[in-house]
Amino acid sequence: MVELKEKLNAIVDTAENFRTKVLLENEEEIIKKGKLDIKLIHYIEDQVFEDDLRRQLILSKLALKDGVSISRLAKELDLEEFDIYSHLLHLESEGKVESISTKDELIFRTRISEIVEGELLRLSLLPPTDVAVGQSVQNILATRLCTFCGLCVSACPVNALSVSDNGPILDDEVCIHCSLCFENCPRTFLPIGLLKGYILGKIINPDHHLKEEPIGPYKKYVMAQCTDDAIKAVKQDGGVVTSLVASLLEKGEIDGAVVVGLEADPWKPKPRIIRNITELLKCAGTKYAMSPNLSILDTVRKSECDRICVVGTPCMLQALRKYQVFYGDVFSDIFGEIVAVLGLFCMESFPYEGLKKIAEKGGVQLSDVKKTDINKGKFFLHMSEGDPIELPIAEVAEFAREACHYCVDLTSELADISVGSIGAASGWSTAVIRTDVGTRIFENAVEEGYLRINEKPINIELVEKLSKRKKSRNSKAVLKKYQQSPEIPPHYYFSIKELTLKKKVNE
Amino acid sequence: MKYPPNINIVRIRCTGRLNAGHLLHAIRQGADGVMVVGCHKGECEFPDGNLKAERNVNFVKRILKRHDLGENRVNMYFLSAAEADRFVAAVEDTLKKVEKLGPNPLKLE
Repeated sequence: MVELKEKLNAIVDTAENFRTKVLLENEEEIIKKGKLDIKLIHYIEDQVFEDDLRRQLILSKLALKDGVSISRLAKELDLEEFDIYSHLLHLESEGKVESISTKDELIFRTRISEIVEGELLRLSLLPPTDVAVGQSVQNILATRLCTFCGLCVSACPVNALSVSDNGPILDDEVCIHCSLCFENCPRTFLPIGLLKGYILGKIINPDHHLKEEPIGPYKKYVMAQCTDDAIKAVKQDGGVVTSLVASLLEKGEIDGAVVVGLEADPWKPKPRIIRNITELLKCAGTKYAMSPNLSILDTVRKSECDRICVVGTPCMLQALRKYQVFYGDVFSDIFGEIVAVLGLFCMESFPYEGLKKIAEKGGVQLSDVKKTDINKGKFFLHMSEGDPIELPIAEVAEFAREACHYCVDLTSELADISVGSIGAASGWSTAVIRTDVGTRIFENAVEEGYLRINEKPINIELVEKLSKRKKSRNSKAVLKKYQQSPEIPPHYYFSIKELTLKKKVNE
Repeated sequence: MKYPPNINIVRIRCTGRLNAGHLLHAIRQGADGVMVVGCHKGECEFPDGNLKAERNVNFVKRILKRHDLGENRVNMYFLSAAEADRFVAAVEDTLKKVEKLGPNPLKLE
């Protein structure tokens, strides 16, 4: 139970927090930009306030105590344990609480409390340590840590961020320093264990989550292929993602899907919201240039979609799951309800310029290329006639973007279903089904004949080997990057550092 | 000018100086209600202090409503210094609204 006095104290302190203040003060600016109407702004302010209030209440429950377990906090505040845990991890990233968990219990204690005459004073006004006060993603962009997932563009209430070929561009003049972009960026605070727990619907004790399989949590993996001729004509490997989206669309489970299509320029990707099969077929097949898929999330409701499916690479899904956990309520009226999340295996992607250079290296024009493919350590450029041009991955790797070298996820570990060609026979795809939602969607698609399953075993050792290799190589790269540029906000570094350190202990 | 005795006047230079925390602090300290009296819309010197105050008041109203504390505990009025009769009416209006809500729930505990 929360006493009224305690609640009012927390309300007053929360009102002093910068997150709601900055939105209130800039209400007029935000309306002028025309992205949000007054009702939506009020909604966002209220949700952000309530989130802050819950965190403030947690802090006041932790104050004057040596440590409180999550289960007790959940009981006292009448909230779900998972919500409490996510708030606590957020507070931890701000340096306000620390974990003193044991094997059986998750216990936290506060790091800041000023006690005067036995009463706790204004926690929120104490100087923040690593708090994201007023931070934008400027630093992430400048240090090329940005994954170009595009979520910051969607989250920005004043359109200060825009999409360019080489990543988002921040207009400092327009920015109101609300830090919504920073808070939603996957390259700031990224509690991977929490997000994995989110897709499984439970809390994963941080001591356990890294001991599991190198390809992330899963229920099963199968080799599958599309059956539809129209999809066969445009598919990359097995056409599984396209088939899954098609089955969801035709069943009416979703109104639309966020996918990558192509622009007028050859092989230049452009994120799209598709609402029917015809539009979907135009977007099938892999594009190896990076695409800010999540930058169009804010147009979902405007496109008259309520329930959507999102298709993306691991980095996009990290951003998406982080948004769902921490800002799910705040933006739900704009972004729509996310019914299913389909992930792609991804080793690295290329900037559009890089893709052009690869074609140059192969001695062809990008406009003549019919299909691009990465397979068995080679980059293939398929032309309209003749044999495909092969380039060893080692030779094209230099064109990959820097941010990909700091990614530790190959198999889209946060998806409902992840799909890729690694481990599958030619013309088939490996599908890793991770969640209950994923299981249901996949079984539906098989039952209704969108997909057929190959009973032959998948070369899962290969997937595991490559995944492990990506994790170990890239986590080292992250450590190195942060040593070189100490100006980067340290949150991502800590997320990854924990990963590598614990791994060593486990081994 | 005669007005009911149960109000305590706090003078500030501009209502734009107020933020949500101030209004909520008054409630926390045991006030049954808060009335914010700012200049007429369009007549602010600074040039939109009263509109800022209105936004804060509306924000606090929403908080009070969500937490069952009574959104009408906080009200805003736009008056000029020459409108004594309207000021008295505003005080009476606030008192009526607050009386309807009853005393600050903190006092009941």
